[in-house]
Amino acid sequence: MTTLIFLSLLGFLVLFIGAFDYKKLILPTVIIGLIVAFFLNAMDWELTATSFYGMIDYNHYAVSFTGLMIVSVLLLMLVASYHFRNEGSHIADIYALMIFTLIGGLLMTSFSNLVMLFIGIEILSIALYILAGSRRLNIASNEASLKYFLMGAFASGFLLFGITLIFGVTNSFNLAEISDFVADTEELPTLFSTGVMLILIGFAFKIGAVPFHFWTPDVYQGAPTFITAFMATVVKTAGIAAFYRLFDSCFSGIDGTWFKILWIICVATILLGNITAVMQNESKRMLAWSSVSHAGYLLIPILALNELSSSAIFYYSAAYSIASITAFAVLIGLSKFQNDLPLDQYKGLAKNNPIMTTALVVSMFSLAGIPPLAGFFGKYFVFLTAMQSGLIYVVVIAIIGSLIGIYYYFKPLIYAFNNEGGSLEKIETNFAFNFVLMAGIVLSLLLGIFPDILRNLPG
Amino acid sequence: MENITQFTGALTINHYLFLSSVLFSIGVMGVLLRRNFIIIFMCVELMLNAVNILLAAFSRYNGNQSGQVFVFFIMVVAAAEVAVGLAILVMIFRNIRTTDINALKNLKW
Amino acid sequence: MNGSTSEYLPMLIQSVFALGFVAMVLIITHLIGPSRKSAKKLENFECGVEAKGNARLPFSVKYFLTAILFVLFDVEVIFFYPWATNFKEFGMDGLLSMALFVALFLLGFLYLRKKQAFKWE
Repeated sequence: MTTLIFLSLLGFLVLFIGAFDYKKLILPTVIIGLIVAFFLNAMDWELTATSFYGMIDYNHYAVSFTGLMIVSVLLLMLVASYHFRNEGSHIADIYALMIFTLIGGLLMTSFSNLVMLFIGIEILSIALYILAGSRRLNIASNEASLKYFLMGAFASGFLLFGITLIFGVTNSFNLAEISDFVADTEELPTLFSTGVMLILIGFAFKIGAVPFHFWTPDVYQGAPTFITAFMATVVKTAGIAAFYRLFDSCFSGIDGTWFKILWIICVATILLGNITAVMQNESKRMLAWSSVSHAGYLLIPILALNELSSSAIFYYSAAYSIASITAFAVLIGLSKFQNDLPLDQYKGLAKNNPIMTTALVVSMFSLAGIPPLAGFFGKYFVFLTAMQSGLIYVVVIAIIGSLIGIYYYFKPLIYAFNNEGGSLEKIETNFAFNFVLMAGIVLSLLLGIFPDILRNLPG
Repeated sequence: MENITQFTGALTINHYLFLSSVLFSIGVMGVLLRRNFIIIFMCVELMLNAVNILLAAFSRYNGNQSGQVFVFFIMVVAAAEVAVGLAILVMIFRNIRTTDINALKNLKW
Repeated sequence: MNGSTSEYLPMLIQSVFALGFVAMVLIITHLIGPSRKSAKKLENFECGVEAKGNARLPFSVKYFLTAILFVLFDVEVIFFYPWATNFKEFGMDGLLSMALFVALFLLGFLYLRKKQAFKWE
């Protein structure tokens, strides 16, 4: 709860440091601020009461997801400092917007009232619309921003209509009251299930699940690379966390209304994401489609909805976020500023860039789900959750999906170790950038070898 | 005056539900079919305002004020979205000199 | 009859204040503003755009920025309504919360000023 206030003040502070042009202070302020926020967040672990007049319930689930998002943002800020090393003008605004996005994500993981859910989603999205277009003179970035904006606003419309219908039936926005209503009512009116469907559609748009995924590859390719990394990790984590929190606390008793549709969405997302990713020749698009498929895996625990779900989602998000940030960091190191990053630009990376190559190998292995890395245990826990609820077909399809995934995650590696036609020069990096790569490697290994340190956090 | 109160008294929640569903659908169709992004944008606003009507109606019908407060939040968020959306439009217009969405097809799968 | 007349007294005071404010502003601007009389000055003022001619002129983007900022600050007034209707019940706490709310807007305003968003040239 103090984290929320602290982060808001930090955002303002960074804006003003930028406006008064103290360039040297920006990055240290952001990093120290985020570390303080992480500890403030950890201190709220024992706090179980709802705060802000029952609007926010800062339980273990919320604290763990907030901690994960703060760590992801911290790593991304370091990557951003490398990305923008030659470009000074708007950096403070970009950092401030990232912090505001984090605030939205925090609200999305800790809401106990649908009003807070809506406000959290909008704080997150509105800041992201600007971030996606943060390269003003680049038409691809503009286009990404516009598409993301139109799709985001469209999805908010559906979400709101759903919330309204549920309010009309239950006469409350409060999660506990809605859940009581669901438990007490024998036969729920059609309006209620329509509302649940509309909310489901809104969330599917936000996390980019098939068939509402069509904006994802375009936006991911057009946006500046580290914003793409941001969208693929922090935003997706927040979206899934909010999705699970809402469906677990309110609609778990009535899975008859939404189960089949979510089943189809989940399976289609896994299959289409993986199959289309195979056909991509461009690195960012490939990672975009792979992130679509990961959204599918993350939907499985929501589909299963048992006592293992929250820990499976949390562990998977953590493993996926860390691996993705590492993969995108390598891409940023390779790419400088252009938007088209064909896969063969990894060619000959291995010879002169040992840290980047190790990071690439670890992140790709983790994303593909190869033991003993974190990604493998993420998939394992997700499948375990599904098996407990008897979703055998989903598990079979998801395993087929991961097998397809192994093929395209190996493509960059094959290029990287291919020295025909000369190897790449040593790429100039700085301390922050190397730190992120090392952190990514170490965390992926550590989480893979000791999965229990994170697994039982959300409770 | 008396006629009007009699007339509005005859309106049930279903009328409002119907009205806002129709408005919402018009908005959705507009977003999907129109090709000028200012009009798409207006259609999104139409969707949000359809929701506002329904919220206000439900709020009155259920005797629960919180629905009306939520309307305020939606309006403020919509205004923030308008600000950002128009800024994006201006940025794009400066670069490509048109508001036709078909001009933006660099990114295709 | 008498009782209902006295109920209108606050409205009377309000009207006097409103009219008085308008009259005061008119008189004061007349007194302290510089007054020039030229052909341009005497034309109808239409937000800086030529009043006659083709209506489909391209607008300067500067208007856009100002309009967007106006909308942003203007719409937040909506949150004053729930507070204003429960002003007495909320008491001092409510007033302080509202002061905090407005202070955040002031911060936003200062940021815009510092970023020179209000500079016309």
